[in-house]
Amino acid sequence: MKQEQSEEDLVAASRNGDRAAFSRLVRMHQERVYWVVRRMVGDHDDALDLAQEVFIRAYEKLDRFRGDARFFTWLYRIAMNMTLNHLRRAKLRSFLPLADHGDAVEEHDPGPAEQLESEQLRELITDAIETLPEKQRAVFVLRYFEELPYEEISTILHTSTGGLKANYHHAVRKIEHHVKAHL
Amino acid sequence: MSKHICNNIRQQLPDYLDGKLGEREAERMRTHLTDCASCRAEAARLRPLMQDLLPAAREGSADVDWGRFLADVNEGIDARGTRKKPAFGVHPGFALVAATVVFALIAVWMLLRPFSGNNASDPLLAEDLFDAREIETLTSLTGDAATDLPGSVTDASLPPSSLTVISEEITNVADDELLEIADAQIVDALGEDEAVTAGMDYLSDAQLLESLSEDDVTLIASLLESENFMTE
Repeated sequence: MKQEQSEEDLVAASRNGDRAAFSRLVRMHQERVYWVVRRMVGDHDDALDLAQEVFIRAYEKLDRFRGDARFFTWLYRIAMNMTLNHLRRAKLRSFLPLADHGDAVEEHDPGPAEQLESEQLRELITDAIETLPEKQRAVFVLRYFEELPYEEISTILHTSTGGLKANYHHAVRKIEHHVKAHL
Repeated sequence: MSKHICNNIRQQLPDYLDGKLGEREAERMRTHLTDCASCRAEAARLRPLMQDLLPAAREGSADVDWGRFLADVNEGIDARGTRKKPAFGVHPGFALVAATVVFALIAVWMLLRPFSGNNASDPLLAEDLFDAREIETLTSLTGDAATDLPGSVTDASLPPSSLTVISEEITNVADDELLEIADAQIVDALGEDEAVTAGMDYLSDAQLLESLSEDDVTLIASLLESENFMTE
């Protein structure tokens, strides 16, 4: 019976050109990579293309993975770099700046949130996330959806944990503001 | 209540409401919220989002054929292995400067030139100039040749319809070719390892964007989107 290989073994084998080993790594991480990209860019087709490109790029650069972080953290870094690059290109193409909503503090009125269908709600949240500045969007996706510790996000985005907490708080407030305005 | 303490507390509110704080921090939060009306109001404001709305958005579903996804990744790796790299006739850094100069000068020329649309024209020149084959050549021009290029375009007195073609192709150049050159330059400067981990694409895009000011970009946008320009 073939013994189960660890992720470390799979990375080492992939480095030596073992495509089957790399395919297993892709299968292990493809959904998470897809979703982190999808939540950043919003569009399914763009996310699919970008996620595939993340793995292609990872394979090309695998010999540069030092193993001082988790393999998935390294994948996240590639995914985030490519996603931010994609967003910048899209912004340059459209010449439309991402909307930046203010931070007005108001008492919360829950409103008819419970009346929203879940799909409508997801769309509303997706729209709200897309209004965030790139950095806040990245922090929000990694913290809320991926539930990564701040230390790991700090490694991915090269930002202090204090700055990340502030970014996360701002992101949440802006999403709240957007959702409340559209309920 | 100290503003500094309140700021720290508020930055932790999303995690608290999402159940991500440790027990000690959560206890500290509860104590603070009991004593501070302002932070309590902030918590009340964010609670429905964090505890009701966002959790529903966590459950995403996507119709993805993961077997096909893997096959496409492998196909991409195979294709990339034989992909033709841009043929640099000059040092990549020099080519980057040349290409950036072309991009910036053409953009400036577009801004300054009156868009009358009545000049003598040869639309084919623009299309020829910026077809895929020429883009490859463009990215490997030396500095002198690159500087000469906008002049030759100006002399052609192209109509706005051709300018639209040019502007589209400039975008293509910036996106596909210049970025590859910029990436190559960064790899040279930082070493490949450092460039990858530091965000090669992000840096190269930033470098390109910095070659034009925000105002330039906005102005170009308004020109490109103006009805006269697009329909002439």
